[in-house]
Amino acid sequence: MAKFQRAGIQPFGVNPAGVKSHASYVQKLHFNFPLLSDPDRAIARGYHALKDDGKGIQRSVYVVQRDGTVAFAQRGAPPVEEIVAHAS
Amino acid sequence: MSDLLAVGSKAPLFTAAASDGKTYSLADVLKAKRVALVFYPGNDTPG
Repeated sequence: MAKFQRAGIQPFGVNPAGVKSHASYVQKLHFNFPLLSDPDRAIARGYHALKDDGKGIQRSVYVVQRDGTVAFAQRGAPPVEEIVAHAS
Repeated sequence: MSDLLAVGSKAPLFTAAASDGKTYSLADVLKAKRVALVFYPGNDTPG
């Protein structure tokens, strides 16, 4: 994730789980970026990251430019290098 | 399933609590940096 930071990008994980659950997950996986709690799935819905059942999360990655527009959008979990390259 | 938001379209703003105990507003973070959002399923599911 240092690659994100070197590219001037602040990464966030987004998941419906509560903040407490996130904290233990971060510890477990040694993530060094914050995980945002999205309990009502409002963020996932806004970013079209919900599955058809309206509950499941579809793995998706976005990069948002400083002007608030989408610079990169892809399903799945693309390598950080690819995300950074496309967003630059 | 709907398509992802198009490149160049406006990203929806939000404010959310995070694992580090802070609350982040997308608009505020964007004042300093670009932002990557990684959506993933449950914390313990491989999905």
